[in-house]
Amino acid sequence: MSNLAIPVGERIREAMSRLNWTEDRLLEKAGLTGKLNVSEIEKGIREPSVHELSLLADALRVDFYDLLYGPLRKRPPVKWRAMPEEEPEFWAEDFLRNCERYHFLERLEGQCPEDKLCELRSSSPVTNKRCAQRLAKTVSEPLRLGRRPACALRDVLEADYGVKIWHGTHGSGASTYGDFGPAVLLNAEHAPWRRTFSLAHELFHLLTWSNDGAPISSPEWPKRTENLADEFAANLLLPRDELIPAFERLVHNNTILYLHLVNLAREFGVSTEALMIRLRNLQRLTSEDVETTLGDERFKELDRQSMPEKWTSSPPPFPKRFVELGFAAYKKGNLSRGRLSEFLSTDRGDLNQVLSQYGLDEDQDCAGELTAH
Amino acid sequence: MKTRIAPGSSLLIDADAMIEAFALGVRDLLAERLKVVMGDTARQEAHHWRDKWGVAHPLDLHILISEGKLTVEKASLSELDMLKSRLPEGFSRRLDPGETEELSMLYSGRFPRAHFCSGDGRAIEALKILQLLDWGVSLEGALHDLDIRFSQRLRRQFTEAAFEAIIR
Repeated sequence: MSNLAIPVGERIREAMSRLNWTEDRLLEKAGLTGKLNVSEIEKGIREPSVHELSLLADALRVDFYDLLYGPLRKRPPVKWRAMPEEEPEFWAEDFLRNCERYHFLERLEGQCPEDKLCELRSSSPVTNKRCAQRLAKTVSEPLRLGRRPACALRDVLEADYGVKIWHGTHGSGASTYGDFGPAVLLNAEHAPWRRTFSLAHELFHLLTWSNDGAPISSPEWPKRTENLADEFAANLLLPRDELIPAFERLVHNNTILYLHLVNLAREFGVSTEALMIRLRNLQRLTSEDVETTLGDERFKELDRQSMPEKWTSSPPPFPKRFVELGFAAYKKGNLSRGRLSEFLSTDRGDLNQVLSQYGLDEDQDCAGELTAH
Repeated sequence: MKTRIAPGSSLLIDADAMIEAFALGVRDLLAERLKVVMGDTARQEAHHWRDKWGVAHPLDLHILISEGKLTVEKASLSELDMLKSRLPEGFSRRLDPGETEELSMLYSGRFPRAHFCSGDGRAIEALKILQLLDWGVSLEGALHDLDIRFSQRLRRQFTEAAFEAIIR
């Protein structure tokens, strides 16, 4: 028995404490109940096998090699818009591990994006609605989101600003800023317009993330920070100069059809609720009208009817760029097939099937290349 | 094709090569002609093969194990540590735990007459670094040496040509 097991045991314990897990919980999640005893590993009495370690690492959402050789990486905080009801720590660690893997692939492929988002960060604290509005106006120009910002926001943040955008099924939007750069987690089960609003909301947190690596949110007024993020998102996605003319074109004799309001929301890629609140804040609708309309069954029905057309299928679990980076690394021999399967959380036997969902084929010849000047 | 596997040799096979052997319908023949060994992790990874119609076929390796045709071994932490010390910084992180386990056991000399069979470029690259190239073999090479014929197309990474291209 080597004494190498002792530090491994300590790291298992450390990773467990990040998740607030008991040993029983860990063993249950790893499928090792009754087969392993962490205390024995810590004492050097029992050595875990490679397979057991890989199961533990996966359950703990840490890298196998970090658990084996150490140290465990220091991870940044995750700011949730609405925390998952169950195991928020686990889903935060899951998100962070995915971001670390993404960054690992970027480094392998020499494609680490510049952190251009920090150039857009607010130089002064955003403490009130006016500041949030100003920040939205300031960033919309360099972001070049066009006349309907919701349509371009995700692509611009991913491609030009290196924001890692993941989709999960727990919680309602989260953001983090680590060594891997800025990252956002969205809920894949939400409507596309809700996801876009969440993305804009999380962008606010990334733009106001403090330099000491923590999201800015006063413990005394977390709700207020969230309201400021919503204000920022509404101003970014529904810019006054675009929304008001579009709205006024639809108004006849001081009235606007429900149908037109619903279509306007879809056109701007936001929910009808977000649109109407924004119009209320721009003094184009009264609070009373907004409340009545949102509660009106006829309006709700029109809203529902317009959804399927615009509700494209749920986003895939992995960002396309992440999969493409992993695939390219594998095809070039920089990453093993097994490691790629691990990163895509799939069995080796199913790897090609998973890749095909991203338009990739393991058996395709990717050897061709050109000299670039 | 260069002959690598001599009588009395054993074959330390990785998960993908085992899946490919199964897909070609030669897995049982392979296990009959020589001693086949897998790392514990690789054995767990070689779960099933999916055909072109998307149907999953379980490998059922436990049957081979119970018949004594497949031996499963676990690497110790000191074997893993020994491998780590010989590979360049960060190299292991590009391999999956199953490959690391098998390479560790190969490097430690636990199987003095075992050939490592893999189609993975990274794992074969590791053999080169470990100066164990004489103990590496492609699946095509292994089947050739054991006179096992197959009619289906072998995927490129398991061919002798792919193996040679990596070690060159």
